[in-house]
Amino acid sequence: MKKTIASVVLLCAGYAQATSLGLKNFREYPAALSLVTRIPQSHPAVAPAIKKVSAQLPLKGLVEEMSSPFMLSITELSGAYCNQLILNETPKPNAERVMFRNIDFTTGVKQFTPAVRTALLNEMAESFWGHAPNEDEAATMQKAIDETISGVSTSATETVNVLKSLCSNFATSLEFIVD
Amino acid sequence: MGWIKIFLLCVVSFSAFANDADEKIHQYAKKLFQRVTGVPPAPQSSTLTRMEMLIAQGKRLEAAEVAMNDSEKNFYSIRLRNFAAPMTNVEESPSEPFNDLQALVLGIARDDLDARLLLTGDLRYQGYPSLGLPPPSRKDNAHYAEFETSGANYWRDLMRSPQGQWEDIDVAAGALTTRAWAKAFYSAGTNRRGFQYTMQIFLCATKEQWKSAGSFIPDHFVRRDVNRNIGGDPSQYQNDCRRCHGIMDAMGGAFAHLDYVDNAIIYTPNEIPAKMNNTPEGWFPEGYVTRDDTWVNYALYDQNAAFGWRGPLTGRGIKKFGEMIANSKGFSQCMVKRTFKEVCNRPAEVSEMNEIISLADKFETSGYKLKKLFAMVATHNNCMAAPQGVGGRK
Repeated sequence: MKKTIASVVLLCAGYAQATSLGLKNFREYPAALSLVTRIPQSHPAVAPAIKKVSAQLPLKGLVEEMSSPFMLSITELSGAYCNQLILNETPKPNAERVMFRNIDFTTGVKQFTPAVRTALLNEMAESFWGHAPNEDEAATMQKAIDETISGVSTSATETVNVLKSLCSNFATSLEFIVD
Repeated sequence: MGWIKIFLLCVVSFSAFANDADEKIHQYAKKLFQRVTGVPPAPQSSTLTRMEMLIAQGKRLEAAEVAMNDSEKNFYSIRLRNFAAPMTNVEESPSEPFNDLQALVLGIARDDLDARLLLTGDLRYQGYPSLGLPPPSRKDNAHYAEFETSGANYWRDLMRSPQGQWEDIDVAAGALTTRAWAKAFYSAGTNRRGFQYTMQIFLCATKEQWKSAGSFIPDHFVRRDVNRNIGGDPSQYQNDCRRCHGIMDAMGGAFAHLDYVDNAIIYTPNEIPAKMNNTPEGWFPEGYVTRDDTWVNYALYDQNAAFGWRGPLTGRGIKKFGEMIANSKGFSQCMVKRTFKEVCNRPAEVSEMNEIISLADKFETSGYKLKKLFAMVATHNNCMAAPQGVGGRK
């Protein structure tokens, strides 16, 4: 948490462009999640979470509004969206999916070969960030996958857990929460 | 073979350059979309493709307008709501629930009406009857609260009422006669908040900024409830209170027939609310007694000359007052400043005043169109620098 706040402060201090950095506010953050996941804000799986955390999301989108309650709120909200996203995508043919187009939901974590990981990370980075991950970003997300699959069973349930964790990482990443 | 190598080098260099230029346009289009709508574009969106083509032709304004018309219409549900909501409460909080004043802002923007109607118009925007909402009322906000909670679409589901603003009130001055404005600024008090927040919200001038810097302000209109002899010292009134009340009370008459009572905006053309003529302890019997809605503008000198007043500086009633504010250069500049803060994520700096004035002039020339203003601000180099080599307006 402190690292994230420090990162945001450093990012803003070093930012020299005409537009000032800010955070997505209480309207923008859920709307952005809806856009990426194609889950409307009115969906019963996410609407209660939005209502619950709205007061903890930035009001004006100022960097100063970064706080622990804010981070906890976006973790909760992204969890709701990511859960529903996976539920939505699981039954679809791969080619029709919004995300996870190269994932087999009936197979365990052994499917996360380097090629599958690269394709998955590129796909999610394009969806959440609008660009492919650079080396550092890819390394960070690869590490997140490693930590999630370390020591787990071969059950297909663990595949879902990896995707939930990865989805949440992207949804709470600095690049996504910053406006 | 030398010329072949040179030719190939040029092709490769040009391709690299073109790819680099294409990538810059792509990144600019994505950022412009986010500036305009408040959210990033959907991956592989056709809107983004159209924007990139326009940006490549130097048509950045047109690209911004394409973003506004994106199928999700987030420009209305996010950007315009972020812009309008702070106008409807004392704290200028963007989280204020949807209300008639916010609907007015969205409707005027969507329909490309003259934004001066925000202070002069006899119009109301509301949800379509097919939505099954409670009817709009002077006495509650249920219609708009339910519009919001029902998830209705802020672009598609708002209609302009054929009956004007209120069927049972004989005055209309846009925002100044909405229920939301009355609730925030006419309830209790002495009706001075109505003037103070008109200045703050539509001229971007706080009390400290418009109170007289030193020039003599006539205190003919200063009301009886302002103590002229605080602690036995009349100099405090002369040196401080008068500089503010001289201006505020003189224009306060515009609000003389308006009030907010029992959760309703009310208009009493033949009566003055008692709060306008309070006589608290220490009251000054020779002070001004409000008997009608006459008002006079004394905010003319020193720093207040910058408001750029145009048209009559005295009149009767809230509508004429609204017209004076709306026709000032200060109004146009304030709309630019508010748009800049919303779109560019920061307030405009004092050093950018020339750019603000230029944008305000263009806003006026455009016919005071809010969508045009948002597009001009989003594509202004002070907000977001265009990629090198891409032309268009600065």
